[in-house]
Amino acid sequence: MPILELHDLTYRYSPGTPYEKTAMEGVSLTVEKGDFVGVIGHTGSGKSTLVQHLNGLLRPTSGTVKLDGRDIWEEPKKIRDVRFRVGLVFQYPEHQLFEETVYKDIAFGPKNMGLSEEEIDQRVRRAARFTGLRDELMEKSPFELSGGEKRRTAIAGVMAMEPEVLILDEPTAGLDPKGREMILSQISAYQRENGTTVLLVSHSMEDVARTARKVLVMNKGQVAMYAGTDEVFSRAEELTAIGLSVPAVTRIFQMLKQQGLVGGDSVYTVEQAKHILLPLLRKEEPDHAQ
Amino acid sequence: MEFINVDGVSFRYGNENENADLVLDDIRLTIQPGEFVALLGHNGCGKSTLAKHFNAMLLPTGGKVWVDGKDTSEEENKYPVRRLVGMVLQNPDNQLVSSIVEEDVAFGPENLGIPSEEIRQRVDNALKAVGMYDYRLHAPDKLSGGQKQRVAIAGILAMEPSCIVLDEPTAMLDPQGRREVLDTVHRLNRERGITVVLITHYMEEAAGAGRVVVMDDGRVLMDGTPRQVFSQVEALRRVELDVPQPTELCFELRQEGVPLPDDVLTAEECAAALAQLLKRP
Amino acid sequence: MLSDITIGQYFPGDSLLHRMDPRVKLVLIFAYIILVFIPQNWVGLGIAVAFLVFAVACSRLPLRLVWKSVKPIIPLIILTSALNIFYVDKGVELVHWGFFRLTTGGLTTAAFIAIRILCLIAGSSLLTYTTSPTTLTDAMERLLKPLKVLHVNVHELSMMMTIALRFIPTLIEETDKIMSAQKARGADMESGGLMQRIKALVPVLIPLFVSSFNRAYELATAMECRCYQGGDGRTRMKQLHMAARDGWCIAVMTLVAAGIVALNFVIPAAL
Repeated sequence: MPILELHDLTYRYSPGTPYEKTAMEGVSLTVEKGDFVGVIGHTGSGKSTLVQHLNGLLRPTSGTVKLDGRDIWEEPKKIRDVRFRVGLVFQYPEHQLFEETVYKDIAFGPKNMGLSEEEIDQRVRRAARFTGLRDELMEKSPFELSGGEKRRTAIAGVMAMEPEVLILDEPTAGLDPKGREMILSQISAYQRENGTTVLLVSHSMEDVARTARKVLVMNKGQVAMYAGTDEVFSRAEELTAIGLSVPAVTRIFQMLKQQGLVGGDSVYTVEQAKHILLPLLRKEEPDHAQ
Repeated sequence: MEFINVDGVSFRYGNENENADLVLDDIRLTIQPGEFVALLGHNGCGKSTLAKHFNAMLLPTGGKVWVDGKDTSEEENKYPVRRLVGMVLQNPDNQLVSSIVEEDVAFGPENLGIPSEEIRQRVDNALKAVGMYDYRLHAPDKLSGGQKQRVAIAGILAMEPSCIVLDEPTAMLDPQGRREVLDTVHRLNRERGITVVLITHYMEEAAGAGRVVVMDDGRVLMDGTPRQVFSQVEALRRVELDVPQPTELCFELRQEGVPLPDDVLTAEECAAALAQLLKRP
Repeated sequence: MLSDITIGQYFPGDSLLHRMDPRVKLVLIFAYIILVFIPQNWVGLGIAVAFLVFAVACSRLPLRLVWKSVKPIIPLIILTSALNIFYVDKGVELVHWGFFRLTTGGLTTAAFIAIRILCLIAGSSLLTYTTSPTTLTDAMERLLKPLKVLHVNVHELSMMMTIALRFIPTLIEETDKIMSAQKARGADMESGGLMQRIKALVPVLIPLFVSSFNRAYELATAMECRCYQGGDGRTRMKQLHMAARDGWCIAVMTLVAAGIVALNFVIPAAL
C-alpha cells in the first residue's frame, strides 16, 4: 500500500527574481508502506529539496504530495501534523540540540505533539534504546557528549515522535567507520522492528547498498532511476555515467563480467560477492586436480 | 635528514594534572621530506592531537618534536615551524577569514610580513596550483565544500611550506569534493615535493598514500606501506577500522582457502587476481 | 526565506568611481554629506545635485539602483517635509486654514530638506555600491590609523569587521537550517502571541550560539596555524595608491565646495 505519492512535483527557488533556479522538476513516484529506500545523487541533484517536500517544510511550486492518500497541503494550517507523521532528520542533526539534558532534547518533538507525560517518557526511553544511548547519559547536557552520541541523540529526537515515515539526510556524514556502522545498524534494526517506512539520503553507495531495499537515484532535479537495489546496481554503467561511484565490489564484478567470467548478477556487498565467487572458484579446484 | 622527528612524545591535556589520561603515549615517528603519510585511526585515538604537535599548536608533555631540525617547544621556533608546516582543518567554513577568495589566501603571507608584490605573486601561484584562480574574486560562501577546501589549501601554500598537514579535510565533503581535494594534495606532493600528512578515516584515501600509520589509544599501532598495513585485516578490525572493499573481499575468500594474495588494494588488482583464478583450465 | 537577504550592496564594475582609491572616496563622500547642508540658495543646491548626478553618471550604475537605495526612506522625507510645511512660518502666506498656514518659506524649507536627504542617501549608497565591503573596511583601517595614538586598536577593529562580513552569510544559512530542523520536530514559530514567539526562538538561538562559539574556536585555531600574531609586522597584499584620477576628483570636489560656499555670499539666501 502506498504511503507517499508524489505527483509531478516541481520546485523553483526565488521564483520571479533573477536568482530563480529550478531545484526539482516533474518528480512523480510512490513509496510503499514499510519500504526502505536509499536516495542517492550529487550535491545539487535535488535530493535534499525532494525530502523537504515530504514533510511540508517546502511547498511545491506545482504538483502534489500525498500522505496516506491525502494531499498534505489540503489544510495548510495542519502542516505540523504532517511533520509529526513524516519525521525528517537533517544533515549534521547534532547542530539542532538545545535543551539542558539529553532526555529533554529527545522529548522536544513528542512534547510539541501534545502527548501525555507517561507517553512522552515511554517514547523517549524507546528512542534512546534504539539509538543505544545509555540511561546515565539521559540527564547529561547534550553538549558534553561525544560527536557520535550527539548525532544519535538528535536522531532519537525524531524517532521519539514515532513517525510513520522516517527520513534521514546523510546520517553518517563525518563519522568514523565505527560511528557509521553503529548508526546504520541501528536504523536497520529500527526499521525491522517497527515496520516504519525509511528514506535514507546518502552519498555513500556502500551505505545504501547495505541497508536499502529500493534505491532512488536523483540527477539534475529529476528521477534518474527508481527500482530495487539489485536492479539499480546492475546498471552500474549508467550510475557511473551520472558521475556516481559504485561500490568497489560492483566494479570488480563489472570487470569480471566483461571478461565473461561471471554472470549478470548484481553485486554490491562483499557478502554477496563471496557467495557468488566461492562456488565458482571451488568448482574449478577439483576440475583442475583431475 | 628527516623532516619531522617525533621523539618519545607523550601528551595530556592540562599539564599539572598527573592523573589525566595520556592522549599520546610515547610516540616515536619520523617523516622524511617529500613523503605522503596517511594517519589512520578512529575518533579519539590521538591522531589529531599528534598532528597539532607537528606545527607547534600543541607542545609535548614529555619528549620532543623536531621539525626541520628545530625544537617546537622553543618559543622562537613557533612561527617558523608554523610557516614550514601548514595545517588544513576539517570544516572548510571555519578556516576562511575573508569574504574574498584572494584576500583570504593572502592572509598567511600578510601575517609573515612578506612585501606586497611578492604576496600578489604567491597568491596567484597558490590559487593556480589548486585550480581556483578563476574564482579569486568570489565570496567563499558561494563555493562548494571541495572548492572551499582548495582555497584553504591555497592559503597554506601561499606561506610556501615544506609540509601540509590535513586534519580530516574530506570528512564533510561529498564524493566529488573529496576527489577534488585528494587530487590536489596528491599533485602538490608529486609535482612540488611537498610533504603531506593526511589524517583520515576513509580507507580508500589512505590506500593512495605512500605510507600508512595506524594509531590506537595514543600509540602507533602499525606503520608501513598501504599493502603491508591493509594485509593485516584482523588487526585492523580489532581496532574497529575498515579495510578497502577489494582487500576485504580477498581476505574473506582467503579465509575459505582460496589462494589469493594478501596485499590487494584496488578493484583492478582484485579483479585481475580473481580473473587469473577463474580462467584456470 | 532568510537566505534571500543579501548583505553588502556592492556592484562590481570598473568605472571611475570603482577605481578610485577607497580612502579618497570615503573622505569625499563624507565631505559631500556635509556639503549638501551648506547651500542656502537654489543655485548652490542645484550645483550640489548636479554634482551628484554627474557622480552617478561616472559610476555607470543603473538608475534603478539609486532609486532602490532612496525608496525606503521616502516616507521619512515626506514626514519631515510635511512637518516643515506645518511649522515654518515665513515669507508670503499662500493658504490660511484654521491653525494651518502654508507659506512660501515653509515650502522652500521643505523642499530643501527633501533634496538634502535625497542627496545624502544617494551619495552614501554610491559609496557602498562601488566599494566592496572588504575594501571599505581596509580603507577605514588605514584612515583611522592615527587613532593608534589614543590606544585604539584599529587593526583589531577592522579584523573583526572582516570576519563579521565573512560569517554573516554563513550564519544566516545556518539559522535557516536550524529553523527547518526544529520545525521538523514540530516547533511552532508562526503562531501565538509575542511571548510565545519569543519562547519559540529559544530552540533556534541556543544552537546558533553554540555553533558560533565552535566556529569562533576553530577559526582562531586556523588563524594561529596561519601565523596570525595581531597587527604588528603585518603587511598587506593590496597597497592603496592614489592615482592622478584621485587628485582630479579631490580638485573637482574642492572647487564645487568652494563655489557653493562663495554663492552663499553672492546670492541672497532662499531660506
